[in-house]
Amino acid sequence: MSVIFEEVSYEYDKGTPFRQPALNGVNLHIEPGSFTAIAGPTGCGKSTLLQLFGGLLDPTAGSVKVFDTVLKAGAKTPKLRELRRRTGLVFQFPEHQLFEETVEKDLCFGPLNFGLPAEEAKRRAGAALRQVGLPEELLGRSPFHLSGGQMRKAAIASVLAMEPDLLVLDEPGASLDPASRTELTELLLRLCREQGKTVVVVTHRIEELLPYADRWVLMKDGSCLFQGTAEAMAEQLPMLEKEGLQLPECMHWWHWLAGHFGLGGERPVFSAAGLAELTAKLLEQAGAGAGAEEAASLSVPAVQAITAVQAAGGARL
Amino acid sequence: MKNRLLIGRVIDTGSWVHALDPRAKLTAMLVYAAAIILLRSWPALLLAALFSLAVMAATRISYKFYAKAAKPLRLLMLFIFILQCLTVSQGRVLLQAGPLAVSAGGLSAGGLAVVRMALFISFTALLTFTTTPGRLNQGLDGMLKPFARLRLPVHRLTLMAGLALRFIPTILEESQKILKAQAARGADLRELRLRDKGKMLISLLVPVTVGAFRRAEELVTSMEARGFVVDAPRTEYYEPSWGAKETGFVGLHLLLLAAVLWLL
Repeated sequence: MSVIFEEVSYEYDKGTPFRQPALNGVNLHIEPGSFTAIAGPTGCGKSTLLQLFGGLLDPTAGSVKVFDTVLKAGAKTPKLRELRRRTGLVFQFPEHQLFEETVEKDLCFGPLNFGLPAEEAKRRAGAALRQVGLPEELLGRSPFHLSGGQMRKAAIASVLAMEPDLLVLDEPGASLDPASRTELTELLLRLCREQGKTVVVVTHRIEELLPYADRWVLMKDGSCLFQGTAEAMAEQLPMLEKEGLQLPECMHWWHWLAGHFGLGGERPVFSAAGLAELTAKLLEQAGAGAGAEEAASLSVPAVQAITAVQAAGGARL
Repeated sequence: MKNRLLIGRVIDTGSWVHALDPRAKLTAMLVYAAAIILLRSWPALLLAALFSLAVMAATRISYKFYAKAAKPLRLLMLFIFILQCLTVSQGRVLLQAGPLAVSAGGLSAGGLAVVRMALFISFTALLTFTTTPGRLNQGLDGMLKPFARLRLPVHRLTLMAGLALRFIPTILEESQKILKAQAARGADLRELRLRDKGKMLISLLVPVTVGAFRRAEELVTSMEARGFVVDAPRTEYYEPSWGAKETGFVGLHLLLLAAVLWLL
């Protein structure tokens, strides 16, 4: 296991009148080499959760184990160097993450801290910048003069340069255009599948990661509401919606199709194109079997749903 | 930061002290300060202490937080105590070690100084515990109004003071975030050697300053976008009003001052 959370709670300003509970008995297991996506409404404790991954906060109850380092509530904080070397954390606001005078220095900061020679650090800096699709001319610039999207990419590169085993990203797609978001998702997927890195991503766009993430963690009010695959998530859709979570249109449509045509055990389809094809096929079968009346009654919601899926920008195949 | 600055944070319990006109609270604090500075004897101190505890109780904020407000200055208080003990020589000598002597008078003076200081700091924390910075600023503005006749730019000064106060927690938070970003990439302040620690803190200066300027600019833009013009007359969201409670609150403090002067 890369990361194990056991009954972890976290409270800000504990013991003062400003105390604010943020996490509540969270249990979490993350397998090495897996791609996990975390979603939930704002203020549900996602960012707090991620900071616990990086050993930036000590749990106020329970224990967090990241690789071989264990942070236990009440116990003395262990040496965190090893944890930090193997964990790359990309914060929600990249402008809080860049602090050096030039982009190159910022990218080298991590590798140098972990004792790499300057030459190697610079090589990694260049490589990381190329990986996120930024031109190398930016190396000499001040990170504060980058645009929002470039800053975001530079912040991601500064973590990639450390070559961590566990990559934790807090809404990495925010402030990026759709093309860059797709590129980023592909990069993360490559790092996960080809280099065996463990990836954890917080996202507000569930539909964009639906085809890729191995596991989903849905949070609400500091607790884990759901943990499992996208398939299981689609099955439990009514329960999750009742809890007030907003799930993408394409899941609704799949859920409806699965319920109506009895697709229970099958592998779900979440892409717009895939759903459209499947719907057409099912309608054709239904039309051939039961007569035109039922097909006609189906076709209206079908058309509505397909346009809804497309409007929601549903994931590509 | 585990023990974040307690000063400047409001603890809202909804007591009548919270609702007082900020001008009344400011005036009362000034009177209180005068009383504390003037008092010289234990009976007067006892009276002031009882008075303070009673007013603190009226705010319905736990004494614990008042004590916490004075805590950061405990070393200074210790220092003052020792200094007073060793330099004031009056009455019987209680302890003698070489050239250093502690007399009964010194002990009394030291104790008096420390209790006064502790009282003063924890009691005046009441002001920030019960009043939001905005209202405090408004109160200040109201109290400085007479100086506007002398062409003192009162509004500008209080606006500046208000913004500066407002920025303290923001800048602290910002540095905290950068420290976290550095820690996440292997430079944890807690685990660094002293020399590297210094370097690390200096490296904070640039991004925090840059961040502060950026924020200030954004603030100006957002204020102007919402029609703020310096020195233009504007209505207040909260209209302070002086009533019997305000007069009573200030009156109580004046009584304390009179009693302290009488017991002097």
